[in-house]
Amino acid sequence: MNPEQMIRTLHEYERRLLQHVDFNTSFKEMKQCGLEDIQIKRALQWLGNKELVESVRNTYETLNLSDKGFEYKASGLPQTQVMNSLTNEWKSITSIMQETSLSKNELFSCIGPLKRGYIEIKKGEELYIKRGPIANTFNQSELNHFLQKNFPIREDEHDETIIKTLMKENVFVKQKHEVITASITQKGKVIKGYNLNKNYVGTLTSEILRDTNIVNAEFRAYNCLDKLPKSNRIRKHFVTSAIERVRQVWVNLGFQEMDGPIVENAFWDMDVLFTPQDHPAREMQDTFYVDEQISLPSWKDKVRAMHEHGGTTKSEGWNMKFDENESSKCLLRTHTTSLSAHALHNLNEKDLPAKFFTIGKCFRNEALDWKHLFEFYQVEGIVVDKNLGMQHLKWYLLEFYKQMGYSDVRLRPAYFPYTEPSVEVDGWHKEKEEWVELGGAGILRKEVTEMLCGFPCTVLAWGQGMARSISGKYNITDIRELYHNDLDQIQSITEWRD
Amino acid sequence: MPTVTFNRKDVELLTGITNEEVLKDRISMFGTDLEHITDSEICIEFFPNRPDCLSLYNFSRSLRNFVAEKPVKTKFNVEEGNHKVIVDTSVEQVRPFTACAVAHITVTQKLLDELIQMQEKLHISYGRRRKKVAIGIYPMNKIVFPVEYKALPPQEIIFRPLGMEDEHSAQRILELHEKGKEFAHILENKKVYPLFIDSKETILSMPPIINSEYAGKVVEGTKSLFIECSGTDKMAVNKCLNMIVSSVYEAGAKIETVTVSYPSKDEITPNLSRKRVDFDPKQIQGMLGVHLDTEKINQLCAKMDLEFCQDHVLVPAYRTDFLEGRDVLEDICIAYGYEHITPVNPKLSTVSKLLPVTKMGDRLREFMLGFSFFETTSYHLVANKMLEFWNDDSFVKIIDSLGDYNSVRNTLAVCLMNTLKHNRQYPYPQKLYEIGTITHKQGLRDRKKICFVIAGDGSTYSSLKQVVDTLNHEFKFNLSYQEADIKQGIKGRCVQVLLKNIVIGDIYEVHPRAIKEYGLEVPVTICELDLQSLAEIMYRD
Repeated sequence: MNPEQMIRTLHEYERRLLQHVDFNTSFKEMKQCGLEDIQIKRALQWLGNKELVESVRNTYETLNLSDKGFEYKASGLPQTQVMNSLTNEWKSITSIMQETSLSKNELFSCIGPLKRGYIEIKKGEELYIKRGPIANTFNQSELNHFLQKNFPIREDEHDETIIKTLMKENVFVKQKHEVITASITQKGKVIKGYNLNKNYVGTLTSEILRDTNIVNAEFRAYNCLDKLPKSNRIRKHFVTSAIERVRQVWVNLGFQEMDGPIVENAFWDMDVLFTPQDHPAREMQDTFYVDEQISLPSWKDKVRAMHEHGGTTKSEGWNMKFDENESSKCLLRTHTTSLSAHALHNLNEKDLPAKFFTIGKCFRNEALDWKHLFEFYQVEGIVVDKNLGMQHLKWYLLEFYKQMGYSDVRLRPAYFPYTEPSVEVDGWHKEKEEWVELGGAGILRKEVTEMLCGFPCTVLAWGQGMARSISGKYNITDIRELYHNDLDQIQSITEWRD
Repeated sequence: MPTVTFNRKDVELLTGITNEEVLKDRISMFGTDLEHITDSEICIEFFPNRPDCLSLYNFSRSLRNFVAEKPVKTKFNVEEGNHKVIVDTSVEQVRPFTACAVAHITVTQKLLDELIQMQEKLHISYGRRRKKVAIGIYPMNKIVFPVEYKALPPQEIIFRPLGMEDEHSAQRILELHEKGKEFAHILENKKVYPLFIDSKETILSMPPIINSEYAGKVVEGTKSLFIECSGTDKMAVNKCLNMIVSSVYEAGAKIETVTVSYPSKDEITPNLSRKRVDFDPKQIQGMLGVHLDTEKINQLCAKMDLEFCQDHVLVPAYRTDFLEGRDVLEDICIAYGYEHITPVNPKLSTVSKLLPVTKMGDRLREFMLGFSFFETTSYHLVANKMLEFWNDDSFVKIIDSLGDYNSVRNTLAVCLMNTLKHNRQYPYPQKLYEIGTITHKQGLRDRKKICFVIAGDGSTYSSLKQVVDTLNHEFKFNLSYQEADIKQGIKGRCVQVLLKNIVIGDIYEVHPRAIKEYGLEVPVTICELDLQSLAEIMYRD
């Protein structure tokens, strides 16, 4: 940057101050530029950043008189005051207090040191004091004299023992001082050789704009590369942004959104999905059961038959008595697959092919900790048509996860009660250099489609919990932070990147 | 799903796979979930469809065949034994079924550890924590056949349970013994408890709780084993026995059958013959997208130890997960390799469609941002105290919930109040909104709502009413208002919002008692609207 360019970037304060800085210039000298102290300090910092001026800050302490100090300066130190008021006759404490301006505390703290012969004490109704045998030798003149000095003083410039003695009388207060000196740098000298009084327009205001000469004015250049303090914007919650991002993927692939209740009975959440009634996931410690009842639909016997012996299909079923009480139990849906169940049940054969998706909250009876939430978002989609197979499921999974930002994906066998074949989808984690689980998938069992649709069809299904991928995308390690609702956190979180 | 740890050397020896990368890859692609692998151990989580693999020997045999060029079909040579277990009618009311076998094998420490692990893992998973099936394994030399499986009233049962010093009554065993305490609930309210007793009246065990110390303790060096499974599900009891027997068979045991004599008829167990599952090979092409010839199908089936016979397959006795033909297809897919399936776009033309509430939510978010409201999002579950304090509407409660999150919210207002409470350290005014679902107890209806608040000096009824007015104007909702009393509102500063004469929300200044309840010291105004009603007006199909 040449000197003229540099001058353009200087703030008015900087230009004014620069003219008053030479070598070891004191703050007092700098003040001749006419700026306020705070303005000078800021200008010094800016000039320092531009390496035009080097400033040095030194701090030192001074002693000034305290309120007590000023008092004693006028009427003498307490011991002096006491000695001056004494005679060879006994005098009561009360009368000494009246004669001097000392408080009771001050007076009593004098008596101790004076007892060594300077005074004599007698106890009666109260304490009586008179001059002692060596009263004549009492001499505090040096100390009293010291108080007459021109304060504040620098401690190191005076007698150490006197100061120490006086310290005990609480006559001083310490004051901190800062000495700022500044010296111009080589670069600054060059700048200073130019005209610094040229008028540059600073921040534009409407007032300045009303000036007709403004069109021809020269403008101060900003230090555009300087770091600025953080500012925040009003925004949507980042979980919402993530959901919108994922929803867009489903929309791109032509899926329509499903709807369904949060409070379900086990019939819809588990039985129609062919989850055996003694499946461990149905136990109280895994599922939130609620104190409600939802009656079973008229076609419940179809589900009963399927569980007990495979109904009209060739399946064996679970070979277990179907319990309607178990089925009517109410719960908070444990997965969004219950929504898929409703969608399939409402689907007509003539509406094929059909694709549905949902992004919804699910609930599991988990203790809240950094890895577990008792409620979380799940995304899920189904594709329904005649004659679909694993080759099609694989195509959708690869496409879906590509759009979700995972280019390297593998499928491996898994198990879910309602799909066969079942698939676990892994994504290659570049940093960890290992496969991480993304979600589950599969082709719905015949038992399930028979219960829900009743017409021949194949249903591809896949889904995943969102909490882990949201926290991954936003670098959140404690999953509870998704719902902290801390305004600063929501404001400062960085955007999702693929 | 149970996790099992195997000795890596054992697996390497039994499968012949020693390369770590190959092990990792093949275990994952076999349909078992590899947890971790170290120099000395392999830890695998098994899906519930393969309880047989909870045993080292069953797992290794299956994996060995899965990777083999020429898989070896499992064939069990079972000798006919002359031992008998008599099932008494008394067990019908508790645990009606049993299946038994005898295995001749010298028990080493390694086999003993394996038996214990398999038994424990099967109990947890397939046995449904012993409720459905419990397993007992005994040294043959302590038993004098025939053995009787019968049930007695608890007060008549006295024996020394495994691991205890003295004899105890059945009741005391349930109270004192570690396993008794853990599984007592299974026998709760039963008038009789089941027992295996030999012909010398020696108690072998009291299933599903514990074996006896005398007859139920297998040790290193034991030469022959009596194995029984008992439970409430006959098929499960038999399948469970098959899994155990096929495992010890693989370990080198000679298996002998046992006659289980039910009152009505005798049954010979174990039955290790293969099960027929009907299956149409033409379905393979639809499932994999490729045509496979018979030779290839044979080969893939063999990898999974299935026997392909044109219109059906024969499934080995240790498998429990074949309900119909689709289960065969899955095994063929696994043998083919998910990694070898070529993805095919089915080119299904469908039109995407969002729910009206989703579309309305998007538009309202944009609207709220325009008024500089900040979005927050909370849990559906809240403390019942919060809801009871806020309004008099009923709400859905969770049964036996521990902790503060024990009810389903019926208003978003409490969530936003809570959010304000947690953001007291930040400057005011705070303008927040939340869009979310609430649930009414009445009819268990979910409703999508929008709620917004202004907290801070200057927050007044009119500041929010203006926002709703603008909303009404821009979206042409034709809303109207009526004065109302709201539980936590200041009287005279509350309105209900109406759409076509139906109340769909409210606007109110929050009463100081509620403000203080949430530890706040600033005025708060709230508006909550039924987003779903607005959506229905906006997006009439």
